[in-house]
Amino acid sequence: MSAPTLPAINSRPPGDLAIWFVIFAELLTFGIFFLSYGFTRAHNVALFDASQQLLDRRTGAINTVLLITSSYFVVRAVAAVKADDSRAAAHWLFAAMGLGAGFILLKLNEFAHGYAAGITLSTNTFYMFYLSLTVFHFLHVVVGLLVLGIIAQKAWTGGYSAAEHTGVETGATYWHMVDMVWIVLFPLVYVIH
Amino acid sequence: MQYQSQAVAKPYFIAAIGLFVGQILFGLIMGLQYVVGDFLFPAIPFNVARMVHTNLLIVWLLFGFMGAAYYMVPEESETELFSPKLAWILFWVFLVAGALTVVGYLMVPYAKLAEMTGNDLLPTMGREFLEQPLITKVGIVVVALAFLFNISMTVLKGRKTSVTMVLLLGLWGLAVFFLFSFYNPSNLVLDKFYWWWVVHLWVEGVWELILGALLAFVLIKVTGVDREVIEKWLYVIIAMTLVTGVIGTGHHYFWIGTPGYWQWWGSIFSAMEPIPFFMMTVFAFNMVNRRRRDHPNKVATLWALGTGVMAFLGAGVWGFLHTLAPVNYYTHGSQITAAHGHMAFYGAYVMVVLTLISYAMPLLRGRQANSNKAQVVEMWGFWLMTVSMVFITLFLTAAGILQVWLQRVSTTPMPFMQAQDQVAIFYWARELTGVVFLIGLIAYVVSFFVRGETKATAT
Amino acid sequence: MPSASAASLRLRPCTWVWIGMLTLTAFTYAIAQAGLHGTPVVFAVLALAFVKTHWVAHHFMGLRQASWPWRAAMAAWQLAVAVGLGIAYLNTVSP
Repeated sequence: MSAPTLPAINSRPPGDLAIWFVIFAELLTFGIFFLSYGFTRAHNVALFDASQQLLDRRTGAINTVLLITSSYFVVRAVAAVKADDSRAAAHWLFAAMGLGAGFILLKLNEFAHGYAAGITLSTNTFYMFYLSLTVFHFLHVVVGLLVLGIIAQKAWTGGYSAAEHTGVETGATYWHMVDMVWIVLFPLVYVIH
Repeated sequence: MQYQSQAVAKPYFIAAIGLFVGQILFGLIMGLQYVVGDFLFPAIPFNVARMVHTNLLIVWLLFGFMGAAYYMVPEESETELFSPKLAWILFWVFLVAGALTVVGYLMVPYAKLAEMTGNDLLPTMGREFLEQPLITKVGIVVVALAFLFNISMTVLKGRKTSVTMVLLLGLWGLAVFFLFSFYNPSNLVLDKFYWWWVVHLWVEGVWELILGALLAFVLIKVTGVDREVIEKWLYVIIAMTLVTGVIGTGHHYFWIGTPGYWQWWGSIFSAMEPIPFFMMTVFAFNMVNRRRRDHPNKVATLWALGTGVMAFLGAGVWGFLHTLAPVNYYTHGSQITAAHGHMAFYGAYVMVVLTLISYAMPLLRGRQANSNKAQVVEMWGFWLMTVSMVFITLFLTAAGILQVWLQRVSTTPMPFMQAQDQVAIFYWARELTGVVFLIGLIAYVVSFFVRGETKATAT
Repeated sequence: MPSASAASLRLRPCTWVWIGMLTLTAFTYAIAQAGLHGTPVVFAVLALAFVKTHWVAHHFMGLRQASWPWRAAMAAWQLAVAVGLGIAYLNTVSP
């Protein structure tokens, strides 16, 4: 399928160019972490499988649904801004934030349980990875919520338009990255054994 | 120069270069002591020469940063410096305090120096790079705070640019992290943990912000590329620096008694520390390629490009070589470390200060650039110093690999001093190369006095 | 929330992608709950995960419209991580 010649403006991905540097840096970091997890597990299969059993997979699955759906809502928000409906965009963004907040609550609950059970970074290598990965990702979800909050607020006050909405796309891109990382993290840490 | 008060930068630059020469002389003394063990003993034992060498390095770089700030900030802020007089006073205070400290190291046995300078009030002496007496450390803090006050007030009353914001963040960070030199826990693990909050968070943290700001400033001036483009690059570079460098501190926490997860965190994050340096190199070359004008100061441009390359090689590549825990397990504290340390410091910080001086000094002396003849001599200085530093690094790397093999990896490990004997040839090579470095430095100093057809006078 | 008129159940492309991702997630969860294991299962779960990441990058993040270097960079990341993990699992040292 030959694509029609795109105008030069479409050769760049959406959002500010700088955020894409951030995205790739984040993906690189998490990627290295994922690979480190995979190769370490290869030498500690029994330990990893046993420790993994104690994780709450159902909550993890729910969290996956929450993030995927909130990403979808963010896509709808961007579409709304492109249609010059800043208000609708704000609604979609608030909804996305709501789901993100749900993720935060479920995760905090999970961490609390772990803490109560005496799980720390030094408990064993699996838990070191589990905590490092999920806490690190958690921090990115928090930052992502802040970012969504900022663009949602600006969209609510009509600060974006079809002509000028780079901010929305930039924030959206960051949120999608947060989602993307979880999409790999969940099966890797919670499922595969 | 555009603002009269920028003139205060000149004494700072002169002091910087003078102390740089002192640093190299003591480096050469040590280099010889590596192979002729009792050279200058007991007058200047190795450990004293080392203190002088490392402390002079830091002090002259600080003079360089301060001079750079005094030059850059009025121009960026489009207003005169808040208090040129304060800058002059601080110059003399810092110079005299620094000189007295070095004299103290050389003339007084260290324990006696500690007693004389009130170390029992609050013990801060005795740690690598932080050997300064308490009163010197307090003096550094006072000078730094007053300097920051001067610079910050200037920025506040004038235009705020990305360059000054990043510079200020770096310089304030420098001051804040130096405060950790006063914190001396008796627990050895904690002692080492916090020591790195000065050293690592300086050179792999806030100093990189200073480096970025200085490089960006010079590139804006010599290339004429749109400020916004350069500023955007600067932000991305420092973001990557902070993201990789802060948790990257963990690559100093592998073996000091901290929990094992630091081996993972330190390895993974510090592995990415070369990225901002790579970006700086691409940034520098890209800006020069896209230049809108051909600035007559060719040698300053050469220094700028050289900084990118050498910083990436010395700090980025050589750092990466021994940053992963499984590698560092074997190479820790070896000549590999020395190789990295030398090229990193030279490539990143020595070169960026010399870049700034190369750009600013002619302007401070009333011309846009030095004469062709003078620039050629300066270029000789650049190439002699840079190439000899590359060879110093290569020789020390070779020594390090051999040392690690013989002393640690081999199935029949050799004792330390025996291994040192085996690598002596590389130390001789390093010393000879070090002499070439000194020749380059002399050429560099001479270039300030070379006349010839002067370039267009500065506006 | 479908956008088009009720007459034709035409959903936006992004909605289809969302439904697709939920479906794949359900598959992954089912595999987990069924306690399936073994190399083919591991590869299947990894494949599902990276199809999802591809959809996020391509459709949600809008890389579909970007020029090839951007898409190549993202593909490189996905490939490196997926293949790396595959190799890691293949090289599992038997306990």
